Amino acid sequence: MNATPDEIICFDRVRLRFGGETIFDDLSFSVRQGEFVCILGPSGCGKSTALRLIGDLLQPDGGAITVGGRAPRESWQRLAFVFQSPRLAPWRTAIDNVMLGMELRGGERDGAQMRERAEEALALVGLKQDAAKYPRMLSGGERQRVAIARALAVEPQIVLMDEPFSALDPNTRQRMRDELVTIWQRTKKTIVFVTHDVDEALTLADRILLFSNKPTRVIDQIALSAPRPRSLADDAALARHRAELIAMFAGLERTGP
Amino acid sequence: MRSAVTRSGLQARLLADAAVIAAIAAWWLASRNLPAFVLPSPWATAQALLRFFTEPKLMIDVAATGLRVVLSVVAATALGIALAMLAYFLPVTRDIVRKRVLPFLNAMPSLGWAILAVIWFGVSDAAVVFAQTAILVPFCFINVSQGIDEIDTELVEMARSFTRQRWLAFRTVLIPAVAPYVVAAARLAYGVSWKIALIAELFGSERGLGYAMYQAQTVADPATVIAICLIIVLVFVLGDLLVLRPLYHWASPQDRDKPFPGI
Amino acid sequence: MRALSLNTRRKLAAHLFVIALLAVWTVAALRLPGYVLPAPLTVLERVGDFFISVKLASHAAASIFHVAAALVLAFAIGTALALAGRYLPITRVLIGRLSAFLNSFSSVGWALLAILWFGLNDIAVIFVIGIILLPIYMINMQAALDQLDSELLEMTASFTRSWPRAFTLVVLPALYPFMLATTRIAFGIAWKVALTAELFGGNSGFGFLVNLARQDIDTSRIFAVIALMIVISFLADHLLFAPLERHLTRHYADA
Repeated sequence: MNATPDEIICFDRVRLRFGGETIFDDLSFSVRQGEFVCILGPSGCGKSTALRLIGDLLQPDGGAITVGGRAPRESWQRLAFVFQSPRLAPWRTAIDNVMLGMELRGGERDGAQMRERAEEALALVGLKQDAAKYPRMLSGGERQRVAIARALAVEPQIVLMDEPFSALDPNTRQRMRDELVTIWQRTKKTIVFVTHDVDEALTLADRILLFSNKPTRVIDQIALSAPRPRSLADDAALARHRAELIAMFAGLERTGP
Repeated sequence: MRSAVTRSGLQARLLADAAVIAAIAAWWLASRNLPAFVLPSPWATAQALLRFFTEPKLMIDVAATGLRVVLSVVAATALGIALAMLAYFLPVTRDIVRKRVLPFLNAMPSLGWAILAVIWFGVSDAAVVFAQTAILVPFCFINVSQGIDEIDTELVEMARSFTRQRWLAFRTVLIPAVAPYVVAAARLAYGVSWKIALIAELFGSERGLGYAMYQAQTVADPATVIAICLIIVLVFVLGDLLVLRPLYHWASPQDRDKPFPGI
Repeated sequence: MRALSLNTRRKLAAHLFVIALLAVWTVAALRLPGYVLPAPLTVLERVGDFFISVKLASHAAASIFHVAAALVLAFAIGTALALAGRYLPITRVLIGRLSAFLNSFSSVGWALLAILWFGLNDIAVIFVIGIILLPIYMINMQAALDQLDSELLEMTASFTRSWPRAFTLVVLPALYPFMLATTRIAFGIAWKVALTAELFGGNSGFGFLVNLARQDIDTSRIFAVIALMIVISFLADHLLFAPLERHLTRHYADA
């Protein structure tokens, strides 16, 4: 399967063994530029591993992965991660944490320019007034927003998000989803979002990739065209997808990893 | 993947062993080019070491030092327990113990005790044991009081809900809970006391390894100096393996597979 | 009796204890000869000598220099070895062996060997203190590196492949609290070793003075030196290390 021009990520029959078991046997999927794709699957099915393969934090044992037309080891600078926990440096303020991402990436940017970009990123996530606060003074949701700002500040083409809201309480989760959609619509980045929450996937995605248990493959792809913000209860098509997905999910969790 | 890790661990250990052999070889080479009173050869050192198993006087030295070590470890552990109990049962004394007595004992240099002990007790066993005990008490106290701090208060409450006899509650809950820490304290004290025995004995006694080492230095006999240091390591390891480790496992059977705490 | 809080009673008891101790000391000193137990005031006077006599003050300075130099060397070499142990697995086992060996060698043994190797000078003294401190830094910094938040490190790896940048921006700042805690411990130990090292191997410093005093049975000088050492240790701990550690703990509180 060759990547078409607008496919920014392409997995072609990827194989991966890890810790004595086969995680991926024949994993194939693609992501188009500007898409919001959700990888949905039961716990332990290797969704986070797929993200790490994209970001060159892991290498596959077989198959081909292209990111932006090149191997992951050449294009990892075009993307940025947001992890399940914020992973902020406790000794830096919020804005310094946003700058940390840029400082690590390097490049010839001068300090003033970096700071300006950091401020913009913080404003984008709505934390402009909290720039001087240390992580321990921020709530879980706020810290995660700093992590998102950090990822955005390096101006990636692709943002990889590994269950970023699963550690937050339900209300915050809802707000963060809405904010994320707004940010995505404004910045037009490609987002690959991993989750095990069916509702979350239905609320956010242009396309849902349903992952099976190990050895993991894509067992279903669902395209969603409902306009956002979405209300799962009101849209009949969404409600139908929801019922299907929940049934499939239950089947997957019964058979187990 | 796991086999690869074990293989590299084995490799690393073999390499480290090879490095040790290489170091001994380097020692031998260097000692050939330097006078014996600066760097003795490995062989000369081994010979000096052997004398400690054959010459009666030297064996008495080892025994004398060993006896004093045991005495001071017992005394220091007892004092450490006493201080810890005092701070626990008379809470008003907690600052006295932790903020006056302990910092002072910690800051006092070992040599200071050794010299003062000789001035006070003359050249005698008492001087050595006194100095060693004084040096060891802070170690023992810290360990035992750590054990007391970590006693699960809920466990104590449970015990007291079953009996009003404080001594009974104490005996059945507190003592088994603190026992591992006491043994850990004793083990730490044992290890430290071997090292400081030399300091304590330097001026304080005519029998013992400390004095033997000082004598060796004055006659420019580094082989014996090194040999004594090695003997100390040997005897420490023996005592640790034969007495203290089994004691620890008896005191805390639930930690059978956990690594031995302490230094 | 008015109910004072336990805390207040504790502090009061501590102060009273010191006063009582001084009182007992003074009374005992009156009844015992000066070479067994010098009076507190005598000791105080002898401590004061160190601020008046240039010679004595230079000995104090020499000891401070020995301790500082040994700390710097042990810190640099120990941390470097710990880093090597983390990134080169072979060195890790070597370091384990090395620190076990160094740990078991008595400070007196090192002191006597150092005289034979370096003579009676500053190098011998700094060597002895340094070699005792080295395993402390090796073991503690290795433990610190092991404890580094692996999630933080993965996040760092997702942003950069440049090890120098990752080290200076993330690893090194993360190690500061450990470096400080280890140095605090090492500082306390360094002083005690210095006394031994200088007694044998030096021609300057507190240890050297104590040796002279021992031979002259000048007990008040011995008390004075010990008192001065304890005060320096205590001041450094309270005025330097404790505030620094508090400052760092505030900054490094779990995020």
